[in-house]
Amino acid sequence: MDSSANGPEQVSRRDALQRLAIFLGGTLAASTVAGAMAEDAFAWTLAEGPRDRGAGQWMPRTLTPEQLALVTALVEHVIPRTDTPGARDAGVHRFVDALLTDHYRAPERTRFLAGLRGVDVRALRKHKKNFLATTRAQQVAILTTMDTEAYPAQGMVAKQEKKEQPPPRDAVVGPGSGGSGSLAQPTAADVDGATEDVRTEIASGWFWRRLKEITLVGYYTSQPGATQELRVNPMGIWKGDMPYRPGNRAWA
Amino acid sequence: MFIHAKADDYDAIVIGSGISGGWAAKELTEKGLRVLIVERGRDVVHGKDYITEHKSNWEFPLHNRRINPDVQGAEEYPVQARTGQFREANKHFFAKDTKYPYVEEKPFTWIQGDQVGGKSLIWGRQVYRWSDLDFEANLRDGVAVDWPIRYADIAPWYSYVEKHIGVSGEKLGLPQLPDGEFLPPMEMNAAEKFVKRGVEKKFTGRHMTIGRVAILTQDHNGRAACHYCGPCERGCSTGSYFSSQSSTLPAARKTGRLTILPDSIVHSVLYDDARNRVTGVRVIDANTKEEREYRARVVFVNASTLGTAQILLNSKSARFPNGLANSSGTLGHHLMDHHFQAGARGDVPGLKDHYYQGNRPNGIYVPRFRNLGDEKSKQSDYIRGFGYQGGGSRAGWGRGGTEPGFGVQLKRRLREPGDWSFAINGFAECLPRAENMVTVSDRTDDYGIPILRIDCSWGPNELAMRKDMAASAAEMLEAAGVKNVATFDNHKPGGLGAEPGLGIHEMGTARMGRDPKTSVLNGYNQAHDVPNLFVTDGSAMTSSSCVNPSITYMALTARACDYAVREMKAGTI
Repeated sequence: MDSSANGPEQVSRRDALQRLAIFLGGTLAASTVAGAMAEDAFAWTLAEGPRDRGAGQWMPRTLTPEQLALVTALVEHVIPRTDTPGARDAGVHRFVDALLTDHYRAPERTRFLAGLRGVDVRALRKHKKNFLATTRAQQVAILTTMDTEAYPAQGMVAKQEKKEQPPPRDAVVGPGSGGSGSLAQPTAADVDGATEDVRTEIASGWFWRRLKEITLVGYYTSQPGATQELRVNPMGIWKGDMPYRPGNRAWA
Repeated sequence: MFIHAKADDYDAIVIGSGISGGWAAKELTEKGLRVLIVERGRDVVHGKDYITEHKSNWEFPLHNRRINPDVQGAEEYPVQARTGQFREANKHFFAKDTKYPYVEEKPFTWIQGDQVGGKSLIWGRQVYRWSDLDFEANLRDGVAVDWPIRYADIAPWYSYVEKHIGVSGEKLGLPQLPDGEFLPPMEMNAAEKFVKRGVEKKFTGRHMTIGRVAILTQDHNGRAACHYCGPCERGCSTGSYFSSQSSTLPAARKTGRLTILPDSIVHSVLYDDARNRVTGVRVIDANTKEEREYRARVVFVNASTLGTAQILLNSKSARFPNGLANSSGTLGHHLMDHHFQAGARGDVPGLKDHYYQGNRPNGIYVPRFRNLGDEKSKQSDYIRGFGYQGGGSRAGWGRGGTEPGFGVQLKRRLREPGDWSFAINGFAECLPRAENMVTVSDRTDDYGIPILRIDCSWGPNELAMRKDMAASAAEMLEAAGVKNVATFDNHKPGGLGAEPGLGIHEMGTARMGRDPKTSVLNGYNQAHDVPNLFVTDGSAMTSSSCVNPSITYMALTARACDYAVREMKAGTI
């Protein structure tokens, strides 16, 4: 289940798909696995996407069902389920929808959704399929490309982020000086979804860095991430300098 | 409609319940006075109203996300959100900028509390004594006016305050940073010990110590030792750090002579021209906007530096058309703040077999080593100096967002702590300059109170010093063996990043001095012009030192209260 699908560890296709089912939260129907095997494709249908849909009261407030399915797949690619819960188990897709709805203002939200569309555009250009319709290996290849492009060289990222986000400045503060919280939808996509903002987003690397960042935040500040994957730093005592042994989990 | 309370219902009115107001209430009530605290913000009950204390991140809708000015949730807090410390878990202890607007002539970030306890609930808790290097600075440099006091005047009051609030720290025996009455110091972590060893070996006269902090390392005066949960600013029900709620207000309440009036915004101080005395305060009810008046024999103004300036400037009378006790014309001038956000960071090699446990709400401190009065430390391009605050830590999961990679390998990597890093950030003295000033504007807030116009910027001395703050930080880290050292200076002329106010150490505007013609207050924080008016918060400061100022406000307040009560008993006020 590594992000590099063609790692040294060779596994059979069936094994891979079974492990893939685990990777996706263990809820893939057998028919889906069979279909995927038959079509040599990773067919994670929308209806079987994020397992919250229909199961509980929670519904996305900004993401469409298609976008939610894509976000859920992406965050699980970043932090997959292993011997501990993954991003999907931890509800990181919900966290992303909450950020888009209650945290980002319109320009940032629009930019994020354009970047999300860009993931499908990449898949369409390369495989003539939406991202979710491609195989796992194809998905990993696309994300690996995005990751490489987004992190061109160590130390570059901070500089880029800084340039992209000049600090705001209000001459007079008081009523009315706050920003807009109104919802904005991305501009309509053309045939392959590549409107100018999407093309810009594909080129910038911002979306992937942001997606990774909020996946890590959402995961490691969740209860499963903080208490099962890592450890909550207990209160009660301060030990400034204590031994650390490799393998001990970090404080969340 | 005016509701007149009975004349002299109280012996003293204290405006504000924050760090200095709480101390005024404690001292005055313990000396037998009936005290009314008038607080503009809501009541905050110790313990009960610390609504986010010990909550886990996942209990917040956005996992306790930081709220910067450019995201939702900052609409009513566009200035408060600039601190980088404004988040879901603590936003209820910051004032709404929409409620208390001001005109920002140049970038100035005014961080405000709006509750009983004021900013004492959310302060940084670092406490350092000032020294004669500070109290003699203006005289020595020929800058502004001389302080009317010296270290010997305030030293016993520092001790008095420290014994009550509890301060943990390490004695160093340095003249520029006098030792105090310390509880045991907190331990440094491995990276901090590493850098400390390196710096002290390579530079004679430079020291690194653990922060001196108003946090208990052992039980003290009925308050429990710190349990190292981390985010003090959510409130501490065990009272393990100093706040008005944990320390001064309980002592004042114990006397039975304290009344606290929350939700009551002081519009102005009432003044009787015929007797040349202040007689009380005019208050606007924060909820009903009804006007009320309260009267007392003496008034202490502790509304925070800029809050105090605003009240005094808005207290106009025939004798004082430009603000109460302002015959000198200096009221509102010489605004200061510590400038910071210039320093260096780098990676600490090795130490992979070291870690820590608990959340220490404290860092390290490097005392001032520039312009100490000798030739060796004298700088050619600036006067005064700076100290460093900072610390070391092992990288956590957040590093994953800055590195390539995803999937199982990333998850596996982030399961263990990363490399050590270390950073220091200068906290630096700012010169008192007349052109850094506040006035009242034509605009009023929702309560009809004229709002402040703040016009303040760093001068050539500050800007020259910042270069050294960054360069010296890098020099020290490199000498200590820190790798990949990078300097930073976040100041952007005319912009945000390290603008005045961001240090939240705003001082001046009603300075102490020896001459009534050039200062507002005398050596006992008593208005030169009006004998029963005292100002003992940051607005009284004549210069800014480079060390955190709050404990000096506390000591000056206790000292002023002692003087005021003696004068009241003597019948002079």
